[in-house]
Amino acid sequence: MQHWVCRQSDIPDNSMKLFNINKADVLVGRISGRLFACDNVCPHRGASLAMGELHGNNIYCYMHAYEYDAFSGKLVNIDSLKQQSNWRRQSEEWKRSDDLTLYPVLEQDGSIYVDLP
Amino acid sequence: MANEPIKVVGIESIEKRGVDVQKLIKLLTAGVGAEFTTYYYYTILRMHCTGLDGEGIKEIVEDARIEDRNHFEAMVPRLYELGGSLPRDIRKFADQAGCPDAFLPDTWEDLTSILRLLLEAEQCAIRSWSEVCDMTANGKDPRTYDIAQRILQEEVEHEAWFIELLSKRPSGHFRRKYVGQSPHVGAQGSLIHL
Repeated sequence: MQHWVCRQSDIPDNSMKLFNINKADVLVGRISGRLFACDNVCPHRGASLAMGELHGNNIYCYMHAYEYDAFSGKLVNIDSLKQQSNWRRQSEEWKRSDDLTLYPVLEQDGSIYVDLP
Repeated sequence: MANEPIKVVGIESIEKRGVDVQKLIKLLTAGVGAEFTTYYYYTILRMHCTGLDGEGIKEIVEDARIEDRNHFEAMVPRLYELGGSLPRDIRKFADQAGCPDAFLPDTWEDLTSILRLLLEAEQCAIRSWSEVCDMTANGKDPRTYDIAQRILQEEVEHEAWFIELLSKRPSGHFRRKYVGQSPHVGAQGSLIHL
């Protein structure tokens, strides 16, 4: 179902913003003019992605430095965590992460809409 | 009658205030998992604080170790009140912990490598409990918030201690009245078993 989120101008380029839509926390952002929308919950350990940053096309989670592609939802980079001294011995299961939950997003008549299930 | 589900008003009331209880349960399970594994790994780390320098930091590591165990004790009952539970298999519990395992570094004879690890663990815990505080603040779930903010206060203190030991930045720390006192988690709410 499509929901009105905000005005186009509320999401400047290379930024993201958290919205609560129908009790769901949805992160909406814009990178190089292109919009994305996803569940705000990091699929690794549940941190709020809104607390993170944008690194190029990636959403960087501040909790464990996991980075997800904002447009494909795929986990693409965990290099920052690898700098930690004990990283290589972590169990594979602990390191494992699902992909981001993405939502269709569109701009129309100066507004942004997100399609939620 | 016996099979009818009983309404849990303690859960209903926080759901009505906007808390996603299943999401909160996941965060709490991850949080207490990190406290429990940290307690375990800090035991090993403390054992390896050896020599003249090691003797100087042994007690402070012990304070952090026991207080992290207290954090586990304080939050686990709340997890069950909310309808959550600890995983039956401890391996699964460790794999879903909110922070990576604090393995003894190969270079443990250099005490700074142990201190860096302790610092990383405390910083991860701060992020983890801050998430719980964010989710429950502003009257949404006062009971979980109260416990989480007490834990968070002690984690912030632990971080300051280890930064002081690594960098000489003053932390304001003197010493606990007794080992693992948990001045925030223990004394005010009787939330731990001493």
